[in-house]
Amino acid sequence: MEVYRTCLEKVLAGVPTTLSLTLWSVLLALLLGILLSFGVLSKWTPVRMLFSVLCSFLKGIPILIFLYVFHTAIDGIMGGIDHLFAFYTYDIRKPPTYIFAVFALALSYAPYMCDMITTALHTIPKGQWEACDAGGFTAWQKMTRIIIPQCVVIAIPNFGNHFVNLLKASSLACMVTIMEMMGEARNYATMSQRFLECYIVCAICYWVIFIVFEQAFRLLEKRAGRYLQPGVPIARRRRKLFHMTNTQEGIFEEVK
Amino acid sequence: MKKSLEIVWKYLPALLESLPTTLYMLVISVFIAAILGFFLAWAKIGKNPLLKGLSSVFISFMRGTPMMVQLLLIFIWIPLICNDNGISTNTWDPIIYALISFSLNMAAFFAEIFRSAYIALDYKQIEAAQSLGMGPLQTFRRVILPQGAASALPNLTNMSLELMKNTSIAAVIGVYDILGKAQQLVKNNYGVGQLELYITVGVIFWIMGLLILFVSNLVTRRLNKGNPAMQTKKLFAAKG
Repeated sequence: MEVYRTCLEKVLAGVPTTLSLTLWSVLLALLLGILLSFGVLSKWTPVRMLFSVLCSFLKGIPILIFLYVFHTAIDGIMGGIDHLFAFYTYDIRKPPTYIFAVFALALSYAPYMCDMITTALHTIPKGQWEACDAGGFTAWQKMTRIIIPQCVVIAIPNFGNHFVNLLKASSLACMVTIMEMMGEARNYATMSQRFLECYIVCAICYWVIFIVFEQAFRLLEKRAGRYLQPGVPIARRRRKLFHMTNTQEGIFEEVK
Repeated sequence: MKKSLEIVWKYLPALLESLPTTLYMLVISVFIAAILGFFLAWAKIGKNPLLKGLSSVFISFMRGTPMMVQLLLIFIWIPLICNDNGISTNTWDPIIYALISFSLNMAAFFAEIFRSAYIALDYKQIEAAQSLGMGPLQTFRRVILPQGAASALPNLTNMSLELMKNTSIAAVIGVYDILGKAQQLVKNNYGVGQLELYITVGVIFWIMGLLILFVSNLVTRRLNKGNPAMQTKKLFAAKG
């Protein structure tokens, strides 16, 4: 039992690293995905083809290889930047592995984010785009007021999936010397020679975090999509609005 | 640049030599996972509460933990169990543990895909089949399977592609798949040309994935022959 407790402490010490790694890489992946989706939805065929191929290429490479490539390239990239801008402050003994791991994870999930965005955009009926144009909306107004609010609701389940997958994939970052949950567990396992116990504890911790995030995203999905659900909620909402506006004016007070 | 290309050219045959290991892991795991996943889905759809609960917990665990943790768990656990029961695992190839782990993991995902394909099926069709006097087996073979396969195949392909990428994790436990081979070569060269080697491995994985997608899209097109709305036009694009 002693082993389990010590190991749990060790693994819990790695939870903040795992979560921050996941969060930053999801944000970066979303940003990269938006950039990629601009390319994929471009009007010019060569640009579109180029970005499609890029997406498929990024999608086809294992995450482990991204991590290894970025980890290998740290010294080259950082040293290059250092010389280019003449900082001469890069300490080769302390490479920024964390940032490069974030970039690697983000890059491997960017095409999925791009897919998510493009499918969400395609679900908006064409009539709405045309209605916006007819209503004299500028492109910015069209996107921010009509299209994006609907896209976000549609994309939430997919986004939750990718988030949770990324959370799991961040365990691979222990292969490039980042001490998140898996790294701590491996470290403690080799130190105490109690491999089975450590991995069991680690698995259970991941499972708990997975369930928490899954349920959170399910709730979020329900909350965001409450006007999309068929039947009751939208009708109730409408009636409430009707009731409120009319009572303010003092007419139809009896209507329910 | 020229030096990099030389390194790639020099070690490409060695990398391609270990391509069969990756494919072997992929094919065997997908095959076992399809069978296991079918039974899991059957247990989850069925009415037996015990089986339902067990399969739900199994699926949740397999989906909720990273593949690397599962792989290492199996890699540690199975030798312990076997050696306690008098079976020596000293001569086992680590690929066996990779196979077990990947098949169990994929079985959970496949079960979910099969279940969603079954749910997507209109229940009236099953009722119609029953009213025509078909037995459960006959209903499955003639009504559920043809439609379910067509709707499940794109998802299955996506999952298989994920697995193909994830087989590279097996390098962690010492399987000489492409990544394992690349790591070995890097170690032999004291780290010379590791960037080039890793990028080459990535490109090999990409090409392999494109080929799998191509075949799957051909099969999907064939399965959806009677359903023009579901026709795939782009053969190299992922669906689902």
